[in-house]
Amino acid sequence: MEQKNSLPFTIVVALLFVFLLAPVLLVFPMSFSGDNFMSFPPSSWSTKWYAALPGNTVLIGALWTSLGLAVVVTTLSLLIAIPAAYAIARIEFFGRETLFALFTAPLLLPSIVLGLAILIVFVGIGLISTFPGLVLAHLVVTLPYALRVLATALSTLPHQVEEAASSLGATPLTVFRRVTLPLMTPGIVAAAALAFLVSFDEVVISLFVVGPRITTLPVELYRYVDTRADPLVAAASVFLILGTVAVVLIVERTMGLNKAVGKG
Amino acid sequence: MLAENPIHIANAEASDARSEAHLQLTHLEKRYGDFLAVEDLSVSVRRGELIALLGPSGCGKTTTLRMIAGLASATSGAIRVDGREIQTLPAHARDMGLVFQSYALFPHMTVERNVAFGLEMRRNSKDQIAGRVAKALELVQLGHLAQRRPRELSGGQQQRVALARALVIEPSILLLDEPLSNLDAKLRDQMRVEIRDIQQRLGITTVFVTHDQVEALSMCDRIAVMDKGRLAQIGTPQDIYERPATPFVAEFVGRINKLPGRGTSANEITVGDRRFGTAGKGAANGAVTAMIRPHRIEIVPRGTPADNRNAAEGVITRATYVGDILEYMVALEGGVTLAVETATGGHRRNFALGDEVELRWAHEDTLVFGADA
Ligand SMILES: Nc1ncnc2c1ncn2[C@@H]1O[C@H](COP(=O)(O)OP(=O)(O)OP(=O)(O)O)[C@@H](O)[C@H]1O
Ligand SMILES: [Mg+2]
Repeated sequence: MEQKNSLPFTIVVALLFVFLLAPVLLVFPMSFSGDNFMSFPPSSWSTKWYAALPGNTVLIGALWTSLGLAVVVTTLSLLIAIPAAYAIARIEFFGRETLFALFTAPLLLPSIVLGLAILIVFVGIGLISTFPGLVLAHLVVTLPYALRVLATALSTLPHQVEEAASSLGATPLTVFRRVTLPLMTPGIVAAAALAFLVSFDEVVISLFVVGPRITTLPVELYRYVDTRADPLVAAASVFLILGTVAVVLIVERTMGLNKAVGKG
Repeated sequence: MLAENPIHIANAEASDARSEAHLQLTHLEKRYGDFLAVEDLSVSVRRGELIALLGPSGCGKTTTLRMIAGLASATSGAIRVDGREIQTLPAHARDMGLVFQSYALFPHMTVERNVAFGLEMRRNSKDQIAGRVAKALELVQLGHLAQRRPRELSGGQQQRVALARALVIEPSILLLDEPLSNLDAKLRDQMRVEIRDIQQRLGITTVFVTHDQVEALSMCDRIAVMDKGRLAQIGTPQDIYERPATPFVAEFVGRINKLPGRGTSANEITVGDRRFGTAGKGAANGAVTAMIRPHRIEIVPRGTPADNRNAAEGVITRATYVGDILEYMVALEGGVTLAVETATGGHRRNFALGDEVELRWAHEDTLVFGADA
């Protein structure tokens, strides 16, 4: 759809972008600050905060936890959400809509409410401050996203293509493997990226579940700025931003690539 | 003869019919909520027969095919193949080739992979698959596009891939849902011949859905005409065209004139104060509708010696040249206007607007139906 944007519209969009991105962009100069506290503009420049990053064992430890957590949560999200989305989109059963609404309800609840509820449940069964506890807590938020994205991807996939495969002799499993799954790939990539980023960025719910034995990077960064004011977090944020951009670019590429080679 | 036990005869007939029928639909019904998409449909297709399912849009043709293929479940009724009920068989176990009205090609596979899919499911060897796919693509004249993806093809090319994909597996039953709807006239003619040829050669029992009566009449052994989910008539092309069972069928398979009249005997009606002999089927007394195909009427100059055909005097009110035929509108005295078609050609006499003429047509070309037609 080619559309000529009017000048006022362009200006509004540009302003919005500046407003949204300014804090993010400020992180870059700040991370090269030579000062011992955050201020803008910095009075001197250096790369000492980047040099200090690897030495901060707490942050590095939390980074590994967060990465591992995001990978496990993403994998589990896909393993659960793909069959669930398939069932909801393709199989007619009683209470299908209700189930979908229930599955995606956490999207509408404030994280703080979810966090509290999870805390109350987890305390009783000893999941607080454990890796499985974090995984379960994150799944509560990532599953609805994954399910939404996958259900949308499936609903745009014409059912007749699958029917054609079965009329040609493919068993349901083969139909899924050879037709449904390949055509869902863009949706799966998007769902995976979303689940990964949501898990990796999650602060509020994690705050309720982390403890002395285990902690995540966002939580540690949050605690860091709570107690110290040096620009180390700015240097860490630069890596987080670049990582996020990389994930988004990968998604763009695979989706775009997939469109180029088949779906259309 | 009459002494023979009638029960024996009935039994013999029944078993005969069963051995002959390859695909048999009995009292098939499909309901969507309160809406009856297919109602009390009973059709028996012989082995190797090409049968057309003909009817207007929305009459339930696709729904019927989907039930046969196992993609939709019938609300009630039986679907038998070789006498065995198959509704418990899933679609992938039915060995039927289906060409979807919407093609339903696999968008992520090349043309070649699309056509190969069914053979791969049948675990044919790689060489065999390659050979048969190439032949099938040759058949639909798409050999040169084997490496394209469906979205890089025109509508007609996609349709031919769908056709090749269904034909290549040489199924025992072939179900075609308007497989030629998107092709130009020349290609359509070629594909008709190809389909008929391969169908005959392999003896594939085929159900061919179309709403094009010319297609149904020209290439099918029999035609089942559907109207609002019900079977209106089933018979050979001649049956359907010459002896339509209902006014709906008569109008659907070609242009036809309608005349309101009164039945006076089994083979005579009156229209105004004229008497016309009829095909002799309607014994209807009282109000009737007579139907006559435009090309079965001959225009002759007034005063031509009478023959044993129906005759009516009229005036030409319109003459239209449409290439291979001339279309006249002829107003009869008493307010009725008839359409008449004559083939164009040098040796024929053409009439002009305002000419006073006489129409002649055979008794058996006068079809009579009840007045509500
Ligand atoms: N899933 C469905 N739910 C409700 N009604 C349906 C459904 N599928 C088909 N119908 C209805 O059933 C009727 C028959 O549909 P069908 O697709 O069999 O028509 P068709 O004869 O193939 O028409 P066309 O020539 O336009 O393809 C239509 O009136 C249609 O609206
Ligand atoms: Mg249809």
